[in-house]
Amino acid sequence: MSLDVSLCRCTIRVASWLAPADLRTEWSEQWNAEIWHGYASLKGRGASRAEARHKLLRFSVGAFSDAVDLRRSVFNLRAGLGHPAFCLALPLVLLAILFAATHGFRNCREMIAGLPYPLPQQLMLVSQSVRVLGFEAPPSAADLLAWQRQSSRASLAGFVVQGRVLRVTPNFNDVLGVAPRTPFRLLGQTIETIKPLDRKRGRVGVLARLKSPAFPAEVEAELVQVSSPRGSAVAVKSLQGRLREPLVFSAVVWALTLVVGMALVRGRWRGALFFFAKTTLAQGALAAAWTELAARLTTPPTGGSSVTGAFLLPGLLLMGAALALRWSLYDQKGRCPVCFQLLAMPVRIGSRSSIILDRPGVEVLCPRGHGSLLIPEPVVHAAEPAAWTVFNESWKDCFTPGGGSR
Amino acid sequence: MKNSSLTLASAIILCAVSEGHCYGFEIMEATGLPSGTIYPALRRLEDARLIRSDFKAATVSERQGPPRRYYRVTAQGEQALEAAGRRFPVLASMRG
Repeated sequence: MSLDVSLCRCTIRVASWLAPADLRTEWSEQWNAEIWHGYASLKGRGASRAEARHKLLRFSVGAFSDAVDLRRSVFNLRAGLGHPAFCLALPLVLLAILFAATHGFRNCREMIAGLPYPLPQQLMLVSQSVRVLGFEAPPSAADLLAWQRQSSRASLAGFVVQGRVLRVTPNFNDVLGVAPRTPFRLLGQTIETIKPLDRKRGRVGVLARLKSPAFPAEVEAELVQVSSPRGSAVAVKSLQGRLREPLVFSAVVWALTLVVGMALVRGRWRGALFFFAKTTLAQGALAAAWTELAARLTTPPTGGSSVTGAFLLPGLLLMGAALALRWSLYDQKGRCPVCFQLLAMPVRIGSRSSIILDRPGVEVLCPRGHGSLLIPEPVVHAAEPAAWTVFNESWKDCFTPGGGSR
Repeated sequence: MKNSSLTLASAIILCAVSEGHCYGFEIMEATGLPSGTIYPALRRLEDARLIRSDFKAATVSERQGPPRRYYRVTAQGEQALEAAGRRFPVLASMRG
């Protein structure tokens, strides 16, 4: 056998690694046989060596795309999508993508770890209520000046975040308790440059450090007295608590959807466990994604609260959680209660004209032969629950490879 | 594979098999299509029962080498080929 044939066989050997393992031997034999006979045929016809080499190599290179096609045709996509592991793998993949895209859930980690400043529980964010739907606005620069002069229970500093630039009053580092090294993170933003704040600026974020043993309510009462207009409501909230709000909210929604879902799902403990795992992962991926987003958007650069933070983002999470829960419940209903494969092969049965003896509905089968699910006709039997029928051993042959179900 | 969805490449390959080019290498030489197109198409044609393949019945001279898969057009395949001939007039010239 010539060197050209050996080269072709090497090519086929390499391509065979792409073919499915159980079909690889037969596939390789077919291609090698064609190479052998092709070479013999070309030689018999008196083809030149160059021509034979060209044709044989061209032929053998096609083995790669054939092997890929064979793998694709053998891999049963529908069975893969219907497998219970797919349900669990999908949220895990989403979590992995999120992990990579968010530098390992950086915002969530920062929320859990807390503020990296001395005595973080004393750091407060001060804002003014605008008396409209409970919104809070950043205080004015004039109020800040008044508070700085007259407050005896807290030290106050002003700041404004502009992209990656932080503009601060001269006492900002004293209030923070440390001179931060750039780059550092503040209110979900990465700060690269610190510049002095323009005193004439209209609205500013106000950071306060409580003087021990003052409480936020006492500071609020004190600041109200010197606010402009006098007596306008002032909110003094823990900066750490404020930053953790998205994490707490998403965790509450996560727990709530799990409780509601577990209350709604029917079936044995294995089914409930599968539902719990699936819902936990799906809601967890949603909560993690939302928390990462909310950490950047909920607190405006000057403190206070915005429409986005107060309504849009929480609404988005609630809608997403409801949709994810709905998917979990519908997915659970469409699965075999024994192996949790998605039920397939829907068949419309019965007759609308004979609702007693031949009830209309759709029957779906477990692809592994554990039973069938009769879903009654929605219009006529909407009140009736779907009915599961268990298949005995006599059905087994129908679901073996090459059997009747294929 | 529905007959109406037979692509030109599949129809050409089916035509080549019908004309007596029973092996992958021969089909490649007869049609000029790359082997990477021919074998997947043959597999789909076989799944659609338009052709069938076998390893056993090879000619005496071919038994000198390793057994070879050869393809034959089924009756259903002939019907599909006729329908494809109406859709792709170029097939008529191939069939001579």
